[in-house]
Amino acid sequence: MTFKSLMNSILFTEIAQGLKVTFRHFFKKKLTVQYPHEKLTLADGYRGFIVHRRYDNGQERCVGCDLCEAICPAKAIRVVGDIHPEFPERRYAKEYTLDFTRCIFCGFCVVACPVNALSMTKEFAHSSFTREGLIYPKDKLLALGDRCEDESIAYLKVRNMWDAEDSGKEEGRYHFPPIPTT
Amino acid sequence: MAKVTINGIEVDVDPSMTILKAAEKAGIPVPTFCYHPRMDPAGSCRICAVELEDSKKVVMSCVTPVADGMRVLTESPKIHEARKTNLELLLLHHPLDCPVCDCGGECPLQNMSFAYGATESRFESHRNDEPEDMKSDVLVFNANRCILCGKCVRICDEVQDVHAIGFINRGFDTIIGPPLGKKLDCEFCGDCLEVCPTGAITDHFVRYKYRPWQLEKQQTTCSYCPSGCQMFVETENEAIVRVTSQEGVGPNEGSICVVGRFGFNHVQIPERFDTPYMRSLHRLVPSSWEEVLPEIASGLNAIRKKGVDRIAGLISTRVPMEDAYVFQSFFRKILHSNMIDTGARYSFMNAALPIVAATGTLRPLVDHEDILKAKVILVVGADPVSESNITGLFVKRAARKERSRLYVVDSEAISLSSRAKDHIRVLPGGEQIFLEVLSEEIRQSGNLGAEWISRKEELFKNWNVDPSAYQRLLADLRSCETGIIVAGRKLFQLETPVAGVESLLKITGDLGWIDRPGCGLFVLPEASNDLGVLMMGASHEWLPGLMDSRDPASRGRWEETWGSRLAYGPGGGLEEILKGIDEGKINALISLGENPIGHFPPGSRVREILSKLDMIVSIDMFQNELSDMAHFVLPASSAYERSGHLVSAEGFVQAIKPTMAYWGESLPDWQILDRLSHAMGSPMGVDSAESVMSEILRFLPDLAPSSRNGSHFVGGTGEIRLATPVASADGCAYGEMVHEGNGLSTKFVSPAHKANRESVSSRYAQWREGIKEEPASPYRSIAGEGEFVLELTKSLFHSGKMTLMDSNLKKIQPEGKLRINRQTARKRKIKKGERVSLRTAYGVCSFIVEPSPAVSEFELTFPVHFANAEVLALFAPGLDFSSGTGAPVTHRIRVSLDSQNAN
Amino acid sequence: MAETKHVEVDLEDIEKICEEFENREGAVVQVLQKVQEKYGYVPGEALELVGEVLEIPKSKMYGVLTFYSQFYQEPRGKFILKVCVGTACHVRGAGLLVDKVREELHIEPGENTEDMLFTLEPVACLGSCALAPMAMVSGTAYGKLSADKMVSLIRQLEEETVHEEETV
Repeated sequence: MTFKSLMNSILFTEIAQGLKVTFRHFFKKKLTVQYPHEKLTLADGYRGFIVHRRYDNGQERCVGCDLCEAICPAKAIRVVGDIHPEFPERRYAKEYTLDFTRCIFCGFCVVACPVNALSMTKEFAHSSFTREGLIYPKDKLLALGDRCEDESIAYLKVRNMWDAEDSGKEEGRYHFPPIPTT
Repeated sequence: MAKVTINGIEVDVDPSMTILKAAEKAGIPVPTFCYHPRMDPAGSCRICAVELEDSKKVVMSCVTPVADGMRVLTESPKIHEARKTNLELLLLHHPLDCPVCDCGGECPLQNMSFAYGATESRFESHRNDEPEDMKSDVLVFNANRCILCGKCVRICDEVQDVHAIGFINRGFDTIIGPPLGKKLDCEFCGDCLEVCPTGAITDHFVRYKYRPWQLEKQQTTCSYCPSGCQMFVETENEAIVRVTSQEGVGPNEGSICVVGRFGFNHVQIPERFDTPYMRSLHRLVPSSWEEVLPEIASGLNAIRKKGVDRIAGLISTRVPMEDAYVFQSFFRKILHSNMIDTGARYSFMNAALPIVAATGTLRPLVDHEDILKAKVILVVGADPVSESNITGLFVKRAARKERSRLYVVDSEAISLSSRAKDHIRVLPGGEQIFLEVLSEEIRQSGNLGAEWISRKEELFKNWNVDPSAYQRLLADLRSCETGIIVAGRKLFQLETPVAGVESLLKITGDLGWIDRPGCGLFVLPEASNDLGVLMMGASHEWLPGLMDSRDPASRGRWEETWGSRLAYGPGGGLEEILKGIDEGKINALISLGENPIGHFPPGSRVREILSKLDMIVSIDMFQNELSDMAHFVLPASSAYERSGHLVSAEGFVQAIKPTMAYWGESLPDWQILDRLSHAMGSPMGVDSAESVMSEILRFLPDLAPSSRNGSHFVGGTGEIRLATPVASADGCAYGEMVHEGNGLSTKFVSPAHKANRESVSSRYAQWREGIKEEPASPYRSIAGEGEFVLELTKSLFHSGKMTLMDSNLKKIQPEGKLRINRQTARKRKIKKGERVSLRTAYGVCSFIVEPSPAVSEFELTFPVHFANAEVLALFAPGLDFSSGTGAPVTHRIRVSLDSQNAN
Repeated sequence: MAETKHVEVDLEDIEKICEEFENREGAVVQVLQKVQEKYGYVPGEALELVGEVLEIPKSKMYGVLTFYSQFYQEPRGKFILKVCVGTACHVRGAGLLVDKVREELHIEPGENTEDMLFTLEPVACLGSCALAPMAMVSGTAYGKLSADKMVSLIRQLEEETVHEEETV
């Protein structure tokens, strides 16, 4: 044992060295967020819960085309299309279920949607005591979409999907039967 | 032969062929929209462009004939550019609504745009924005998506010969639709829906309910009419979504009729029996197989002990061969009873008995291909289009395209009569007199006495036969190289049907048609498997293989093969069964999909007779009059759920395959009977339908599965693919592929489906000697006062009574209407939709009227499917089995008509 | 626009017309022209009857009828005001003529007046550009028109009709 190592063990220099980082952080700005009380600002492109969107007149956008179901890598989406009960020339989703226990939040469904009926929000903390609670039917998705409308628009804008917003109109990329104005 | 080089591959082709056909032969696919192998080329879509290497010209391959030494490129930068530009022009007006279009995912336009990168058009124009034409009950026309390839119009004209839709307007405004802006009124075969390359034609029934990639596809045989169509049942989650056909596949070559295409919904409605029921305190209560079977078994065991022929059985002729085979062996081996009969008794048996007596087989001498080649076709007492739709299509094609001379002898104008050279419009019931005179004249070949001729003239005058048309027919029949007589339902339901069928057989023989290939008699059975069920011996006359059930030798043969003594009694058919029950000699009835009460007028005591039974077991899909009085109701599987084989009118033995799981707790008939035999303590040990089929094939190898695909069809073009032969589970292939020429074109060689002419010939000679030549038999006129003959006919839109449960078909034809001659209606001031009442000595019934030019002024017709007890009450009550074949006579009667107010 | 009153079609007339052309399938356009001459338009019922006689399917007949703009499916007025809107007439103010007629008779191009007297039909060129702007009524050409002259022409035609009716 050299003298140096002897001194080190007497004076606890190694511990002091180790605690140097700790002590330095005593005087730095705090990074930890007190989550339930404080929240971080999420980026607009954050892929949180998926929601259903509506047109300005309150009509739901979804045309029940099944493309989200087809592209979903986790097979989390199930769409049952049918004739719209009020407008026989329109297709709509009679049933639409999104299983968030399976969803991997990849955002493919939003990309696939031809009418921007789907978007992602900054919601991430929808927990439930049952599995069934995380299987969202269409009305739940629409309600969530109504609540997070701004976020869903921001997502589409930042992901460059906002241009297809005009869909359903004459000049849109896709051409569907006109949207009823009631 | 012309030598053509396509993409460097040299092929020898017929000089009349187009470049497209030559490319098909070389195995090179050329994309097409408007080309269709069964129709004349149109050259309207401009997608099949190919380049001629020498002249550097771009030509349309579907309309350009080949020339010797031609060198063709189907893919080149120039061609690619030409096709891409064309696609852009097509997309000019085509809305990009693929996500909601029913065709999206199976759309040739979509695929082609994808392949050529023409996803957007460089050209600018307004998008068409016509509202959809949704007036029709079945089809929806979307003019915006239409690319005007004209396939739908052409298939309606050239294949179906219905001409229901056409091009309307001109230029950019051209749309496709029914004339005069009216609702579509046609046969609703849906072939236009099938050939449409875009989503311009869709149907109301499944509109927006599916995406093509979600569907599972299963080829099966249609079990409605005896055409034996190959169809594709597409299901999602064990529910049938739609039925499609595939170009060139099956004897139907890609066409299916309205009933096959849209009549699938009744098998998945809650009204269907999904569990066994048992009568308890006068009510049917749901039960289980475990509970029901021992009860039935003990009952049957007790009755069996009383003696032979104590238990009667009825079987529908829509069940597969396997079930019929198990049915008859269950009765003969286990229940010791030969009191069995089939649904064919009501009509087809009248033809089957004389035909088997004369030819020894039920398989026809000719098939649809022979119809195309026949120079003369005589359709008598049949409406092939509604009875066996595909036969009708082939007759139409023969008359239109092959220039066959078609003669129709019928009191009604059927859809074929417009194509006929002569339509001999006899008075109702005169078909038989006509045939008897014809057969006598052919037999005597000119040596006829003056007395006979004057009698003939008198008969012709009485029955409204045009003598000159008759002479033309006679001359044509005598001189033609190949001729075919098509006979059907109407002829078998006359008052003395056997005489009519025997006349037909005599004509066939006396013209020397028995030995001449391509000639013969083509009879149309009534249900999908009349032939198969009878060949399996499900009727009391025959053991499997059409052997006489009362002949000790054939009985011995089957005892040997089955290894058990057949202790059945003399047995009997429907007549003997009803009599036996009445006299208390029969104590139990097992009915597989049959309902005798519905066939007889209410006053016929059938219900009272059946109520004398100790036990009625009704194995059925739906509630009916018999199941209402049954002690046990067992749920049967439908043809969409079970597997088995059907024998078509052409003699093909084709497989039906399960397309969905058994409905509820329902089981196929063979399995119910097998379980019952286990419960009775004398197990039959049937494992599966496949094992039954191999047993059948061991003893009757000529029933090996056979089929035919469209012969005009080469394959390899665009979306259309040549069907490959399907090997069934028991290892019997549908025939083998035979390679021809350069090995690229293929043909099916299927086991023989037609009757063997040599064996028929010897059998026929024997029969002919035994037949006494009598002058035309005294025709049994229909007694009654009235001025019209009421006839129950088959509708195109229904098959049997089961399809009345089908929501799709009920939408197309919701109710039965009394058809009356248009002029007569005008004269009597009866308008469409009014109610009239018909009166006979036995009853009165009111009907909604539909005037039609097709019905003669002496006749009224009503669809037999809608003939409920009220309608049947018009007919003579009582059990009249005087037809000579044990068939009840109830189908025609004289009625008088009273107009009454619409209210 | 006037409510369209459809005429009763007699099968015998149709048969007579078809007979003139020996019931040939190829003469369908001429037959329809004759039918139109007789009724002023081609009634749907007549179309069906012609189809039955010539043995042409209804769908094909309707295709022919809608293909040619010379055939009309709706009844038309007694006088068809064919106002030329070709280049020469357009330059000389044909638009004003059309506007005047619209204003005067309250009909849009292609429509009939309520009394079924006039039908306004702008046509491309009548071949008399020297007389521009011009119009043609019942085979008579009226050249160098103005809006006022157009009105007086309409009045004159109206009077003629009233006069005719009185004499009858």
